[in-house]
Amino acid sequence: MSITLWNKIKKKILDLRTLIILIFICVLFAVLKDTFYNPINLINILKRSIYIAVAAFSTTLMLTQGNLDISVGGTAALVGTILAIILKANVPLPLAILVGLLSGALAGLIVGIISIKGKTETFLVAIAMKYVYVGIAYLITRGTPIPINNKTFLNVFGTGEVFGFLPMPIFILIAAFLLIWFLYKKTKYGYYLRAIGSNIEAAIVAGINTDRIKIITFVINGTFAAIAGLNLAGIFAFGSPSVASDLALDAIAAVVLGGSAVSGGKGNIWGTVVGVLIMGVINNGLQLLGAQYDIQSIIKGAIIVIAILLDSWVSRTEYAK
Amino acid sequence: MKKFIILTILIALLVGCAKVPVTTEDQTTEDQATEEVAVEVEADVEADMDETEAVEVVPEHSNLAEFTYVKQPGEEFDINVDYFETVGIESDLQIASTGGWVKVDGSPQAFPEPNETYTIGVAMYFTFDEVAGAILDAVKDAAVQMGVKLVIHDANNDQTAQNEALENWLLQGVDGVIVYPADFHTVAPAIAALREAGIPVIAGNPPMTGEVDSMNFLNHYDIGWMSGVQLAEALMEKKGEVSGKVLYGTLPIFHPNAVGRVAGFKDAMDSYGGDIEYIEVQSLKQEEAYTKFQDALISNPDTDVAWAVMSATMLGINAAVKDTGMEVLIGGVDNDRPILAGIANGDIVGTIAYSGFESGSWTLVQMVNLLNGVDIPGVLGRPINAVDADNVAEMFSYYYKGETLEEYMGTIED
Repeated sequence: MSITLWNKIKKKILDLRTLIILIFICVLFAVLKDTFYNPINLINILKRSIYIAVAAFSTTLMLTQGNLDISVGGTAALVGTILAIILKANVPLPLAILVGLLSGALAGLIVGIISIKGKTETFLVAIAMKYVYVGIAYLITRGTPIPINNKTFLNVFGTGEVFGFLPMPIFILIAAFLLIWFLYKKTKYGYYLRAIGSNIEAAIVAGINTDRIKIITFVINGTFAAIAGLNLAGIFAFGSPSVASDLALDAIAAVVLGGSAVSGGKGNIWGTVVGVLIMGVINNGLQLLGAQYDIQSIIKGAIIVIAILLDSWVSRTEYAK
Repeated sequence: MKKFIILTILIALLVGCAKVPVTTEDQTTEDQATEEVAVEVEADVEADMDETEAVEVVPEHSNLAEFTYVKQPGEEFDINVDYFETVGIESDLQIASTGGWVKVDGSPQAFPEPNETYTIGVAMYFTFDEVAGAILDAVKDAAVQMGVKLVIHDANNDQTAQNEALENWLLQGVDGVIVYPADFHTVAPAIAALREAGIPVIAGNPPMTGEVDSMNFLNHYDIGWMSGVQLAEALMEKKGEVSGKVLYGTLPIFHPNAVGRVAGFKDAMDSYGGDIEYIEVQSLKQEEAYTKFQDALISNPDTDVAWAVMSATMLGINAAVKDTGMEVLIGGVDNDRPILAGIANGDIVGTIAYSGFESGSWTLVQMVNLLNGVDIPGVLGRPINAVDADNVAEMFSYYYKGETLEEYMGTIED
């Protein structure tokens, strides 16, 4: 085998590393526990990964531009409660959903403006704003989950099925994926985003309005967090201020596992899908095997660390070339 | 007989008036409260006299609802041995007050009038669930009615922050502290410092390490037991026997209340003599409970019962069972509004619950009595309620004053 061919194979393996990991762990769990490949189980993994996947898609954009917004959990909780309150006030469903999405966009816009225009550390602003959003959610509900009785909403965003097995929220997932993929791959915005993440000075010199692009990404991120919040509200049939507290970390872990560069500049939307599935499969497989909380946490954490190390190694290898 | 009862009441009233500090403002209600307490105690004494020689008991505790003594005033007891050890919990809690151990049957019937304007610190483990919210509402409400100044701290589950608040209050010179600890052990140094400075402390959520003047007590073993009975009866009705597979949701961390509840639940289920297989599922948050129970249900499609140690677990279980479409009996502990709504619409068999509102009002009443110089009970046990479809609407309004279940649930839209 020539060196060139071997290098090509090596590169392909590295590019597909997350998919290979996913296949490996799926086979492993299928061997260890036959319930794993039960179609109902596989659909359930997919169904409950939706809200994390939606948040992870926009987190991919955030990471690509070199920012992390961990306020998304607070945004999701807030949007769920807002929706429940306005539905209870008999506001028509489409309007209620629109208000929910706009609330999410506004939440993202606020984080973006404070951190970008204020020239502060995004991570810290996002932590602070998460407290604010969760606080507002508790304030408007007085800590009480608000029931959602609108069946159309519960079907579309929660537990509805098509053909008797396919979860309806999966269409929201597909739409969210296509939108992010289109924005990232087919628009000027996506091109600018990658440019900013790769080398912000060069992007400024090239005349890109970096602040505007970054703030747009925050708005997209807030809107997608809102969709995640609507999905959670649909699953539980309540708008609750206490949900989604780990959403941002789960989303970031999935994005990193999916092979997006931690240092920015290079996102991988397909990789994010695989990253979300890896997280879902690990959680599911370990639970099916009867592993308790402690073991699950250790294994989950270890896999994320390995993914980060792998990412770092791949980056250095590519840089060395 | 009637004359005897009237005479007994009159004697009791005289005794009560002599012992219980009564304010002019609350004269009527105080009298009623004292009267009922006295009659209760009189009845207890009569019952006791049949078994042993007469033990003279005089009610020393103002503002009580209907109550019974578990331990008489002055009687020595060790709650570490008498309760915690029996359910497998190691604890080292000392109680300073010698006013006995009472079990009350509801909210305070009257509020005492403070001898002066007290400033009382209330340290909460967190305030973001419905029980904690009810506790806080009750404390605030009682403070307004009694004219007490409150200083409130929300630790957000961080014991370091709570200890700092307690130390600050020590410097501020608050008159008393009510503490619902976030961590049962690491709160000890802060409480010891308060006690050393002569500031009385009442514990709202024991067990904890160290000495307090009094504690507000819930028997979590009984809570678990009652829940076990509730589900066992439902299972009996469904299958004709109490046997099968039980998924029980508990916490991944050691929490004494959870330990007591799980022990009581299993003992109750086992007491029916059937063959039961228990599978433990650990979670902290609602989403975790949802996914982990979904997995557990898929790998155990023959599950009969899913039980929750607390509200987040029960809400997660409810969503998971709906998702899988399995027919599983759901029950557990806590009275969050969505749980009560779940009982009303038939998703959940029932729950065992207690009033956060009672907890809050009792701790503040106890503290004011203590500061007024009244010998308060060392342990004040609060009631536990079984809630099912038959009484859920009534209990909803009991737990959430001024609200109705119907209003909360709203109308179902197509």
